[in-house]
Amino acid sequence: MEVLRLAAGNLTRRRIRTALTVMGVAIAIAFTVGILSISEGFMTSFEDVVEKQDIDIVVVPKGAAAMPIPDAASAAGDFPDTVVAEIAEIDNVSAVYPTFGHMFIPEVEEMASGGALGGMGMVNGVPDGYLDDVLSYLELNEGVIPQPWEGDVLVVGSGMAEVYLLGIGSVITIGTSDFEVVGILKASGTFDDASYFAPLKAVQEAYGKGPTEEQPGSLNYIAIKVDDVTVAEETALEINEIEGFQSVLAAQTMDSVVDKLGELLGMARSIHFALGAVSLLIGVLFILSTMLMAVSERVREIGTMRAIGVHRSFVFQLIIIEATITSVVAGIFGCIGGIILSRLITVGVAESMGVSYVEAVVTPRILVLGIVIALIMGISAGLYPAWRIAQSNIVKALRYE
Amino acid sequence: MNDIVLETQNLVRRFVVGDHEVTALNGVSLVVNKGEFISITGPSGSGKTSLLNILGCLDREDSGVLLFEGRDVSQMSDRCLDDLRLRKMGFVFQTFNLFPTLSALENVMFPMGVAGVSRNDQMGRAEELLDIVGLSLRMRHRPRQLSAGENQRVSIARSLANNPVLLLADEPTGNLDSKNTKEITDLFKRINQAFSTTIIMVTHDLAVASGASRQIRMMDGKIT
Repeated sequence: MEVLRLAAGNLTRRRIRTALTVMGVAIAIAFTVGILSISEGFMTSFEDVVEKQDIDIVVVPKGAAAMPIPDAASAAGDFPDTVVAEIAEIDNVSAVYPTFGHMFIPEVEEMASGGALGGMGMVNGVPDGYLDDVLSYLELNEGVIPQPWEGDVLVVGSGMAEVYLLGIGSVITIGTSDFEVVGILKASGTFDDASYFAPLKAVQEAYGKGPTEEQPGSLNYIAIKVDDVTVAEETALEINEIEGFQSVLAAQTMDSVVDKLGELLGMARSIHFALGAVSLLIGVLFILSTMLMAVSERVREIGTMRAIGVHRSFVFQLIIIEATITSVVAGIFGCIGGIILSRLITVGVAESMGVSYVEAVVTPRILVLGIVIALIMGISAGLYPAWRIAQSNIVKALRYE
Repeated sequence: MNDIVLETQNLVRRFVVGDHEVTALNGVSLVVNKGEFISITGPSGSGKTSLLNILGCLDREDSGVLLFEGRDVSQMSDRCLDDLRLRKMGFVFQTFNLFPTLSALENVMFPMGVAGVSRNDQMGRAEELLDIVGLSLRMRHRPRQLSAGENQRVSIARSLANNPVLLLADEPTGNLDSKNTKEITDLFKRINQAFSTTIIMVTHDLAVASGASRQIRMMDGKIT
């Protein structure tokens, strides 16, 4: 009790210094909690997409990251659509959905919001049935998905419709063609909110990638369903071995995509954590310097305690308790700051990009981690000053000016 | 019953200052009986404070023997010495050395808290001691709210908290004006008489020293 009372008294005696220390550590914790919550948000969003899609194998250009979204594959190039017929002939394959995606920023005179990154979306040329079978979780907010699925028609994700003030009947130019908006989707909280969907052939032609007499059409993503999922791996191998396509495409089962995605996200999380660790290290050095300064001001006071008969361990405890109180308070403020920061990031991204899928998620686990990290920071930063002052010579400490 | 509180035999303490070795205590032998009020005087560098530090177990001698209530202190561990200081000794410093975050009452309670005395008993004893030193109306004040004389009274009350056998004071009037010096000197005399507490006081002030029952003078690390 004596040690607690003294520790609390010492902290309140130097209010400004204590407040500054708390603030410094709280910022480091808030930053870490914010970063982890973004990482968590991405993870949740990706897992969500994977879970919702009903596909077993994806085919992407060789070297592309196999993401279960056409958008991610488009940057790595394309491959000829003649492969579709060959894939369809493989025994286990029950459905093939060839798609062609392209990054797209509409040129419009008026938009709701968005800065430099604002409004970046993906236009996806998809075959008939893709929206119903593969992206069955998407719902129309207004308009229709026309049947037959052909011509220069466009179904727009909610985020893009919002940013570009698109409504049924709006016309936007994609590549060399003018597309008419015929449907607008409800917000799904996935990457699809930043997407446009149009018939495959129309998008291929808009970008000069349509089939002609001289050359086949281009694709950069194929979604495949199989009859027997247990042999999907073998089916993917068969696709990879199709004569003439080995060097341009890569097929992977959804399971291995999920595994790779997990690895990628794990790596991203590690990078985020490393970034957080830098701020934490700064926090530790901050507390360390404050504690060293604080104990150097109290050398005589500690000497007096020791003269009275207080043992070294009491002095050690006193400094560690002061560091612990500081860091726990800082941890609490840091977690509150982290929650606010994560909300700001979510709102900021939604405002500037018109999408809601990048949502920072603060879980109780992250908050507990924030407090625990603060505690570890405080105690580790308090150890050396506590040890140093506890070891000081009583006579010298009493003479200290 | 043994009436000797402290006994030293041929105490030697040396310090290295720069390239030189300085002998602060050069064979000090001394017997302090229970209830004595001893003053130690001498010029600066004569070894007064070095002797007080060793008698108070704040420092260790290089050679010689120190017996406290018949026990050889040189053989004790640091933890035992901490305990000895806590329960058997009280210290009064020139600069008071009160804990600035604690009130006068809490400062006096502090050594009792460390010794494991219950909170109620701490408070009762602290109030009693502050009453004895004339500060019953200023118990809740922090050190910075008290005058130098009042701070030294709190310091004396704190030194008596665990009912020590020996009270050691290093220049206790060094920072006080003449009025407070006289009052503090009288207070030491009263404590010595009322509680039979053995007091050893280092001072430059010969008038203060003359109030003691035995005066020791030091020169060049020896008792003269």
